[in-house]
Amino acid sequence: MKKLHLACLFLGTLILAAACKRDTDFNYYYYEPADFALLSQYLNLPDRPENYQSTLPKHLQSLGLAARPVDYDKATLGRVLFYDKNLSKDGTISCASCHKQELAFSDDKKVSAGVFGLTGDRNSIALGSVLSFSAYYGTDLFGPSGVPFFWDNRANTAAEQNLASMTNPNEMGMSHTDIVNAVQTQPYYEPLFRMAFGSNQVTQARVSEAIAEFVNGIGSYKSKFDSEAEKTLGYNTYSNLERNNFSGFSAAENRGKLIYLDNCASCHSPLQGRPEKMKANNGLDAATVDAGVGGVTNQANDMAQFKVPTLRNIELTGPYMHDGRFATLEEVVEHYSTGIQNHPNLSPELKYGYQPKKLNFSAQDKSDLVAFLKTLTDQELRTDKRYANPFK
Amino acid sequence: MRQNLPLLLCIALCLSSACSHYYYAPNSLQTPYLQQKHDTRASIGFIGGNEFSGWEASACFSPVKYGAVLFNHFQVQHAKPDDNPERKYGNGRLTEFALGAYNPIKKNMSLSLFAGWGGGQVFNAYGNGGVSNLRFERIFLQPGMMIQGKRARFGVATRFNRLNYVSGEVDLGIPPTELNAIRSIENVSPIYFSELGFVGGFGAAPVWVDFRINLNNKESLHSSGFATSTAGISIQFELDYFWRKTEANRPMNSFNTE
Ligand code: HEC
Ligand code: HEC
Repeated sequence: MKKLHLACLFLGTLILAAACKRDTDFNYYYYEPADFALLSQYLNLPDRPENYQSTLPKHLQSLGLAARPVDYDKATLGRVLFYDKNLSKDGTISCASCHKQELAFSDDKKVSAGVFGLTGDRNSIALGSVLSFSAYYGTDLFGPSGVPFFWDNRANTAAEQNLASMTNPNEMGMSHTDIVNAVQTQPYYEPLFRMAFGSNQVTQARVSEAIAEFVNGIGSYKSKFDSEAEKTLGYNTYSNLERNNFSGFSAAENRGKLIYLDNCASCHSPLQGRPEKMKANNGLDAATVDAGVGGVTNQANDMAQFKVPTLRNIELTGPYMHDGRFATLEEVVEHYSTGIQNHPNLSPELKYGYQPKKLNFSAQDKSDLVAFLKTLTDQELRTDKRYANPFK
Repeated sequence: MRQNLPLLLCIALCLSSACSHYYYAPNSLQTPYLQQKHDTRASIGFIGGNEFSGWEASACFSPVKYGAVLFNHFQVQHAKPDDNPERKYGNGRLTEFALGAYNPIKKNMSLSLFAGWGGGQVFNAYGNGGVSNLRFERIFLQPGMMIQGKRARFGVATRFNRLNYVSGEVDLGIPPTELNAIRSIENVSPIYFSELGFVGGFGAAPVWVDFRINLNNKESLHSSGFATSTAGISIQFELDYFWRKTEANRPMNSFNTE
């Protein structure tokens, strides 16, 4: 019996010892630890993909706009591709070289510089000029009913667009096989492709799809203008309520808003949703210099017509117009005030009869209008870590 | 109780949950029929549940009168055959060790009480590349009873468990329902619950064939991937028989006071 007691004592201690064991602590991971270690050698990626879903404010929803769902794994891969200089012929240029986050994804050059110091003939378009890339362009979802890409509307989907950028000899200068090779030689793409596509096979189509997914995840809808519009209008945007003063705006900004609604909104749209027109001529030159949409369609009445950009973050995206001819917003406003040229295709919104409008803004009008345009700046977009350069 | 066995089997099958991945399954509750010092039992058998199966082994030895040590190993895997290379798959194992006391209170009947400690792990792959791997420790107290006749025997035991999942690695890409199940397991650990085991066997010394059924009562965890039941068949050898064969007095099925 003594032995039995001893045994019981021993058992009791054993059980107590076991009962005092440490707490439950599971380690949740998204990337397999070995994969994440590999990624972390090259990249500053979070341990799980960022959420790229955009929920638009009410006043934009009321226009029937919605951002389509974004695949976070593809967007993460796309983000890396977007910043990867290996994707250019001379290894110096990435998408981000001409589309800089702090400038709402545009650059500050008149015309952008690509590989081997070559320059194109057009000003970089700010990817952050739109409320949500996918809502604005309706890419892949609404197809041709969305807004087309580029100053001359020559691309219809984001994937088509970015392929054009990669293969443009003045931009990144790559061939399709160059792209695949460049991606395949970088070790960090293996896990990223596996997560995004279920296999590590690299194809040009997958590269384009992933970049498009990232670009579709970009959106700017948190400007001062948006917070005021949501507060004042909510879903009630059908009855010109935007003419009401916004309580958070200064007097100058409210006056500028009215000038904008009266003179500019017929093309650039009242709420910076989608533009009212897909293409227009705003009277930059009396004769055609750059054929614009006409260069793609070869139609006489498309000559010198260009994409109508929305003006979100316009303060950050100078120089302005397709050729970057205006350095400041004041110059742009001066153009509309006194400089509109009578091009044969000048859009009717900017004409009185057969003559170009002279809006003849006063000095006060001009500064009010510029003050209003600056309310379209979205500071959050400039520093949003989801869009930042992931390279170490 | 013996006539209830088919009924219990039936209940066990009906309870088998819809969850396709398991994070816990009961191993057999061993109720060795111990009579005297140096009794030695070893068994090995198949065990399985809804969509999983495997094997288990157990050994028991009495070093002193009224005292015994017990060892169990249990190992199962997801049993659904599938061609997909990234198929759903799972496996789990548990190894444990217990000390106990027994009392052969009357002829053909032995009571036992074991207290033990063990641990194991359970791995799942979800068919989408995601996996989870959880490690657990279990301590238990298990009173049991065994009646053994010349050709047949029957035993019942209940096990009071403290199950603690100590660590784990969980891929966030696994299906949300499974992630929720794992999160709830993490939140409620350590988990206290009891289990019930029945064994019915036939044979004759020194070899027995046993049918087992093990039920777990933690209703709230069935949706978190706790298997409600397992059933098994095993073969047990009374090893002491062989070294006692030469002894004149070989008290197998009788009460011996030494
Ligand atoms: C060398 C500078 C440069 C590089 C590199 C570059 N872009 Fe561009 N991007 C431009 C210019 C200039 C335009 C306007 C061109 C035009 O319309 O003809 C533009 C236009 C675009 C547009 C159209 C926006 C709109 O609203 O129509 C998108 C989208 C875009 N780029 C994305 C990308 C992506 C993705 C990459 C990388 C694969 C990339 N860009 C690389 C300069 C560049
Ligand atoms: C007829 C339609 C139309 C009207 C009305 C109009 N614009 Fe434009 N706007 C355009 C077009 C088209 C472009 C692009 C032209 C180009 O680059 O060739 C443009 C470009 C701009 C740009 C430069 C965008 C960039 O990203 O470089 C600014 C700023 C601008 N407009 C402001 C205004 C303001 C302010 C008004 C009102 C005073 C106004 N617009 C009225 C059609 C219009």
